[in-house]
Amino acid sequence: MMLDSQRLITLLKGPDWYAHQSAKELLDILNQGKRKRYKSMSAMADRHIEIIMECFNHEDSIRILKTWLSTYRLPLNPDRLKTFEQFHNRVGKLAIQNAQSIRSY
Amino acid sequence: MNITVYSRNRLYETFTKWDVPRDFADPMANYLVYGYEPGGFFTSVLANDFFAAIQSSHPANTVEALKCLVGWIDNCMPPEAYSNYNRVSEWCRLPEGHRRAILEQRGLIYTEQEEIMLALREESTIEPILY
Repeated sequence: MMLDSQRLITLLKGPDWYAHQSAKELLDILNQGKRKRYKSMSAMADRHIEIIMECFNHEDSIRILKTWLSTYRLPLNPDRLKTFEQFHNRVGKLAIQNAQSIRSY
Repeated sequence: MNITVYSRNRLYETFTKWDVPRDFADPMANYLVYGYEPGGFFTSVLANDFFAAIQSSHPANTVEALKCLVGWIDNCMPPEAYSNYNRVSEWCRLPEGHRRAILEQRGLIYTEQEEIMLALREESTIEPILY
C-alpha cells in the first residue's frame, strides 16, 4: 500500500502516472488472496476516486477510471463504491457520451 | 432519455427471448424508452382493446407474432405502461427520469452507473437478431 508521501509524489507526477500506480495498488490488494479482498479493493478504490475528483479535471478522471477498467480489468462494482454516485453525477454524462473517444493512459 | 448500446441490446434481448418480430419490437422499444406514441394498433394492444386492435391491424400482422408480443408484454413490460388507454398516455407523458427508473427496476435496461462501467471497460456487446 502506498504511503501518503508516495501518494503525493505520484499525484505530482501527473494523472497518467497516478492511473497506473493506483491500478497496481488495487491489483495488489486483489491478489492478496484474502476473503474480503473485494471489500478492501472497493474501499481503496473509493479513496482513489475521491483524490482523483479533487485533484484532476473531468477528462483525466475518466481516463484514469478507463485505465483501471480496460487496461487492468479491475472488477469494480458501482454498487460497492461509495463515491461512484458522486463520480457519476459529476462526469457520468461526459463518460457515457465519449466512452469510445476517451482513451486510457 | 439516452441509453447506450448496452442497454438497447439488453432490452432487445427480451424481444429475442419471446421471438417478437422487429416490426413489433421497434415501436415497443421507442414507446418504452422515449415515450413515443406507438400508433393506433399498438396503443389498442397495450390498452387491452381487442376490437380497436383488430380494426387498426395491418394485414401483414400474424396471430403468431401477436401471441409473441402479448407474451412479452405480460412478462417483461412494466405494469405502469399498459392495460388501459390512460396508462398508455400517461407513460408517454412521464418525465424521462421516471421512465428510466422504472425500466431499470424492471431490469430492461442497465443503470447509468452500470452503463459507465460497461462503456469504460469497452465490454463487447452483440446486437440481438430479430426476424
